Amino acid sequence: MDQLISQLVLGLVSGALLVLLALGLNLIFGLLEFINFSHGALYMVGAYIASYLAVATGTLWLALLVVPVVMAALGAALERTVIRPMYGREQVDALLLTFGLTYILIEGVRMIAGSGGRRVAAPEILAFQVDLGVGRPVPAYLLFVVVVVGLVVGGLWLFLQRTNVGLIVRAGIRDHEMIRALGVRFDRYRTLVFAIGIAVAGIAGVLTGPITGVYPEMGADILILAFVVVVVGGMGSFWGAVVAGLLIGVLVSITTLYASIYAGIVPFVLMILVMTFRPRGLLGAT
Amino acid sequence: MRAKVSLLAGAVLLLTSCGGTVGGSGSDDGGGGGGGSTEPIKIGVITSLTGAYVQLGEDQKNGAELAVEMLGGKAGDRPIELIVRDDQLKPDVALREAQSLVQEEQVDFLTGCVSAATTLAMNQIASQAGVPYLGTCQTEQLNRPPNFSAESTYHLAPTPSQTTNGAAPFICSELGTSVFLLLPDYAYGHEQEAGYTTAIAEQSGCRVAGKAFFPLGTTDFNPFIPTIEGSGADALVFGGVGRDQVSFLRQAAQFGLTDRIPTFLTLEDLSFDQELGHDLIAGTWAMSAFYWNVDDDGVQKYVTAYREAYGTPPGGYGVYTYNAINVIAQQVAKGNSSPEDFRTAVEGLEVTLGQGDMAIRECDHQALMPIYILKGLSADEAQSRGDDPEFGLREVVQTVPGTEEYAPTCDEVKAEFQRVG
Amino acid sequence: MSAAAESAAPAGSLLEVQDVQAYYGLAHVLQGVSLTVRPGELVALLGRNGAGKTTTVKSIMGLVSVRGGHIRCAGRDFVGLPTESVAQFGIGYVPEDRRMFPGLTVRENFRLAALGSRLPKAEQQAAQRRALDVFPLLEPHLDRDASRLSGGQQQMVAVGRALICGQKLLLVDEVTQGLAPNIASDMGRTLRRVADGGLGVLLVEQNSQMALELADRVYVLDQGVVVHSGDARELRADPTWMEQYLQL
Repeated sequence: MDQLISQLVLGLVSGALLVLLALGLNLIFGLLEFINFSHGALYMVGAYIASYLAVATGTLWLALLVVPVVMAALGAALERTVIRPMYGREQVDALLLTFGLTYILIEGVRMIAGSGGRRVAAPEILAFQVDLGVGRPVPAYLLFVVVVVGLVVGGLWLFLQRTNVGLIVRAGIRDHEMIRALGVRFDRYRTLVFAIGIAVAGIAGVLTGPITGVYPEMGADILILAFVVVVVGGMGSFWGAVVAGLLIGVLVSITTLYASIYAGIVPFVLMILVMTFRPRGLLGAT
Repeated sequence: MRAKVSLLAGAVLLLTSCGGTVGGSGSDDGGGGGGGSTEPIKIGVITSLTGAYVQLGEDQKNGAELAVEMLGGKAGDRPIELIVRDDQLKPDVALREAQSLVQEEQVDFLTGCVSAATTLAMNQIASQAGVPYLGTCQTEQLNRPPNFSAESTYHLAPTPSQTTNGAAPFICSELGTSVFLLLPDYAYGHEQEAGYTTAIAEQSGCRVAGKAFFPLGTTDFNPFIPTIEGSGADALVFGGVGRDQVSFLRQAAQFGLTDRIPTFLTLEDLSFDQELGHDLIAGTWAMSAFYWNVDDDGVQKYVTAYREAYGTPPGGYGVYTYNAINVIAQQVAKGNSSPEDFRTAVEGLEVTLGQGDMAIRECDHQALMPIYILKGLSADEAQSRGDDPEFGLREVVQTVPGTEEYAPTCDEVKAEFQRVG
Repeated sequence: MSAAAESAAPAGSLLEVQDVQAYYGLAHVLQGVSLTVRPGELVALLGRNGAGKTTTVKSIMGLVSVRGGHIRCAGRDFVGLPTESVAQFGIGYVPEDRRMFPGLTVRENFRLAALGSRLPKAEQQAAQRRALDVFPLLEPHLDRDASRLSGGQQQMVAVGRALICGQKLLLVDEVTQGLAPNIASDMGRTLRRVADGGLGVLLVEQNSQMALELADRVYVLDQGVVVHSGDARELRADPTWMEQYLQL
């Protein structure tokens, strides 16, 4: 039992980082109506910026504040320049564009930082283990990750529910033609949502650094999983992404204990089941 | 145009000189491989200059180029022309590049690889064309049926079972008697599983407490930590390479796992060690067929030249291509440039090169070389050893001799060939 | 007067659509539509399915691209303007299928319309209040998901929303579709009151009978052309034209 709880806790940590990426993807897909293939690469860029800031300042704290801002600016700039012309075109155009962007970003990072990885130290103050009372003690940093993800998810939810901008974004995800017919200047919200999605990916990048280190290809695998989370949770569903992210994290973790060889395919099996029996996703709208 | 000209030249040579070449060869050295020839000798190197193991691939490129440079660009009187290609760690790319090197460039020899997947692709093309291929990555399959071609296949890196046989006595006597295997879920990991399972069972009182596989390129190892601890193992073998090592050791360290359970890495490489750093490496163990500060003239000659050329000591993979180029150049200088002559000369060859003494045995063209057990040092320990702390991340604690004892014996190999036919 | 002959804008018109051409892909859907709406006037746009009524409304809103002609309102030509700019001139749009935003409450629907209206903050509140005064029945449902209300209530939300940002002109597309007859006629009366209050209303309606009773003037579209127009009172007195143009 203890063992199972340990697996569960660590599964939640893995799932939490997935949730951050999936939420950004989901928001962008909802409002901008294209699949942002470059999401993983931008997450990687955020992680790299954090790794340099961490070395320069000797701590991760500043990066946690600065990276989201820098990434939001980068996201806004990308949306205004290369992504905007894709609106109204075939889906595949935006897909190819962001696919190309991915390669440029990865190669760019390789050129600047080299193809090897960089290490990122967890904050000193979190370099201890926490005894949860059940299961093995867990490194404090991992619990910190869960807390930060919880704050970001909560903040994003309040922003969407309580603010005027959030209202426009929620409405725009459902029907952007109609909100424009109500006089809302929609374009600026696309920029904003892309910026927010990228900023959240940047936060995920910052948090990942001390766990796995950073390296140019780090976004590729997690991006695929984030897509799976979006599909399983339901396209456009906020809590769907949260629930599916945590669920996949936990399922992978528990499968690791019993049959590690199948752990990698668990998310995809789940995705196929969901697509077959509940195509709108666990919490997706009809 | 050049390709066409050399094709024509090759055809003419083939027609005029009837001796020497083995049928079907696309190589243009013809039969005129005597000491007097000044025809360039073309060697193709295909390795991974992009992809997850790029450090290993770059090391191989460096090793090959260094060998040519140290030979003064010549094998005897014949200039060496080295053609390096990138396989991106993908079998299909390796296949395409090998085809291009064999057909268009008409190389006389092929070498390189960092992964079992690409080595088999290259070997297939090389054996079809009758071009000798010298494999340079750890795999069990290259010189076993159906891949092995006696005319053209050579393996200069150890097989995983050589390394696991070498490591098991150390693991069981020094680290723990209840061993957990955490291995990558692809050919190399499963070869290790087979190797360790057999070898550990042969050590008295030692057992495999559990095993788990992780997908190549796993970033999140956290779920494996309680799985390992829950198995009750008192020693851990980690079979991942490159980034997987870094990810795993980082996460294991956060849990203090490597302090509680002695951890042994199947494949050490300096490039990984540098990314890990002293704090993650200290207290862990590893194995390698090459280590840069091994006290051996052959090794040090290579290491000194490498450091001069590239500023850092070599990793573990460059030495394979360095050796391959040297073996080829030595034989070409002696006039053994045809695949047939090369084979006759190399079977049973004993040379001293970048890994020290090495033998290429006759039955399966497998190179036998020592395996080193390495201990990870803390920064302070490295300092006190008087090495450069930057590169002296490990020290050799045991040398497993490169004898048949640790490899599948030639009798076993022959039995396997007979079984398959 | 015939559609083709109508060239000069009648004095005091709020909206003037002149010889508008529009396509869906290669299909030439509007082949020169002209019509006008004056303040305080309810104008009905009639015609069979596929006659181009909805496309006319969408052309005005900038939701289909117009390839010829003019759409003038408040001294501006709307042709080529983005939808949100059209709306901000005080045009309220009630689309054919209500287009509720799933998950948004009635209150949020109204707030959204107020945000789009470009009104000063204080007036945004007042505009939402006025919409509720028009549809007091929505009061108890303010915090419910609008997309889960009954068809009639959803229609009230859609019109209320349009009233908040449409301070000058309402474009109403098939507002009574799928509603029970008594609810439909309530809605019709409400729109009549809105027009009486000084707004221009352009009403696309399948129920020609009801439209004729409510409207001041009527345009009949067929195959993308206005084939008849006239005063509703006169047409009500002449039942034969209905058979002629609408084949009812």
